Amino acid sequence: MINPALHPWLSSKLIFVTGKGGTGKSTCAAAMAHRLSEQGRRTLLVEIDSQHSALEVLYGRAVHHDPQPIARGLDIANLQWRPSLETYLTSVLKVRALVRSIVGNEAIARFLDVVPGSQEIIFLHMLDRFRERYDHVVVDMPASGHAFSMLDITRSALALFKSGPVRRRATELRRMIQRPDTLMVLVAIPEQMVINETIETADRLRESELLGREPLLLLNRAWSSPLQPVDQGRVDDLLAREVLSSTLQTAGAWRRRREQAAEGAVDRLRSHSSQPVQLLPELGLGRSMRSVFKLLAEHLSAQEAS
Amino acid sequence: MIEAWLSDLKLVVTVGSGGVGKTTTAAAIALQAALMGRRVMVLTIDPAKRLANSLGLEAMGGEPTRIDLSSLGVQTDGELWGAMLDSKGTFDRLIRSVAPDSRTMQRILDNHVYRQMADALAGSQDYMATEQLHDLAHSDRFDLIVLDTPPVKNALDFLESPGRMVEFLDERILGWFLKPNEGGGGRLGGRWIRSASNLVYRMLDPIFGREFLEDLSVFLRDFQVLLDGFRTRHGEVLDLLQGEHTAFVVITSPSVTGTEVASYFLDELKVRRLPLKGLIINQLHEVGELVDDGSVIGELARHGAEDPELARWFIQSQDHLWNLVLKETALVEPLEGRVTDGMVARLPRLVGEVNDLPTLKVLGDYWLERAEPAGG
Repeated sequence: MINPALHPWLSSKLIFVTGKGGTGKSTCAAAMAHRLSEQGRRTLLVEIDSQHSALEVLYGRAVHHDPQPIARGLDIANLQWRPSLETYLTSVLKVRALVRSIVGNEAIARFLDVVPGSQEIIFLHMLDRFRERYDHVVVDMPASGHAFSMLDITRSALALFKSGPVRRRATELRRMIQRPDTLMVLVAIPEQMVINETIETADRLRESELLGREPLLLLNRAWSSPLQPVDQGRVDDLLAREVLSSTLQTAGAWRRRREQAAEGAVDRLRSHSSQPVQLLPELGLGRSMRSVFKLLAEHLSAQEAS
Repeated sequence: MIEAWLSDLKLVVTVGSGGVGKTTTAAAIALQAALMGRRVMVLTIDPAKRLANSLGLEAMGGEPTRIDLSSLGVQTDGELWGAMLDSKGTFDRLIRSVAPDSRTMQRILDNHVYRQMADALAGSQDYMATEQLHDLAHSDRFDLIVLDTPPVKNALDFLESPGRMVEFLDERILGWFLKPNEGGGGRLGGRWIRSASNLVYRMLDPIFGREFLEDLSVFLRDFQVLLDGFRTRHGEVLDLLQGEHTAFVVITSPSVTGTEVASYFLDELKVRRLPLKGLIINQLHEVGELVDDGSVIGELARHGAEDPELARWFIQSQDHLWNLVLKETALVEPLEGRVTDGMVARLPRLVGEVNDLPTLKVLGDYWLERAEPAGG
């Protein structure tokens, strides 16, 4: 039985997934989206203006601006700038002909490409629209620093736009980010620098009061030892004596380091978050993506987060 | 071999995916050059504090910080400096240096659009990276600059961002946005421009609001004076990046994402005619010959650990590690042949984290020892 209190992402409508590069955040976002759709909920997995789509690499097929079905109840999309802009302008100006004359004007279109904050606001506007159409929207965000700036634009925009629809929209979008059913997921792996950065981002999120709730911390590639603590101790003694042949010594020491790094990372993350830290196992290279999603998804909802 | 390669360079640009040890490797290269007696600056445009972490510092700012090398116990005349990209500070300095008078300068610095733009304008951080690079390269304070790019595939876009900025601020485009009644007159104040720009304003007014457009208009008018400076600098930065003393080094780890991004960069650098002069494969696992199951059990028994649980654990561990090494090799081998100039190096994964100078030196020593001429 899945306990929603332990798995806050299952009850969240809008889920931003971010983390340092190389932590597997796209894979985690995909695993979450698969899990949600398997429960019969209409789910969208979306990345934002990704010039080199991680989802394309994961699924081995083209991912477009308009959502396309990839599994039962699951659509994927990679939001593009110009179509998003058109959608936004249509919602503001109502008149299609006017929108066409604006985006058809080279100077204005180029201006809109670079006006500070407009891209962020318009992409968030698109996500808000998807919230209405889907039960869950899982966003594969850029790496943590950029993800934070993107969401925080809703605040800096208030200084820039003192009137008009952009300002109103920015205010509404800020509320959307602060809703209790909006969740930020920070993906980490058991490496010191990654853990440092994750804690830094979590602190920054807390100080900025950007979110309405604590982010969920997800520790990916966490090896838990199958051995009892007493046997772990025996292995450690054996390795410390350096009596084993080189391959066993190297392999044993390597695995113990991974197991201990995961334990240490969990401890550090837990002391910095009131949310449970969820663990995902190391699945190894070379598995098919579908089996990776399935295993991760099972792990995400089955494990007893403590 | 690598000493000669390195001593000939004035600029090293590291590119690659996130999580492949790019920043750490940039710092390791910089440290080795400093130990060779050169004055080295390592500059990161990454918003996180990774570079400072690798150099054993708590934090690092936009101003060059001298790194104390005494903990290494090595005598050197070289210097190692580090700095984070500080887009706001660089932009402010740039405005101060090119503004025609103090009133214009203050008006730009106080402008809402400017204040947001320095941090938020798409590409401005990239743009500032090239500005800072330009300043450092022309300062004569350093013999070598190591530039660490952001961990994204579009990292090379920073080369184009000055071009984009110049393009946007092109007079023709500017003309559309300069309000006729405030317009600088002269060449931009024609009647045609006036009516066109009124049209633009009528269209944008209901979206952005009047105040914003007025701020923008003032900002753009003041900004015109900086255009020539931008153009010149853009050209100089491109010359620097394509110069014969510049090396782009692709960094990767033996991961699916890392190698996929590295492969992309290898192509992209060729397409852009940038000097690809190196490939560093980081974080490789290494392991010796496999031990058969019977011998594992026997070996453990000889050392007082006759226990099937423990034996299974060790057997599994060496299987995991072996599989990992095989998969890593398959991932990285196709990349190596694609570098034909400079060096290729395979570096082992270090035990523990690289977060102090001595460990950084260990990584750099491996590099010196293992780098081979490319294409050999």
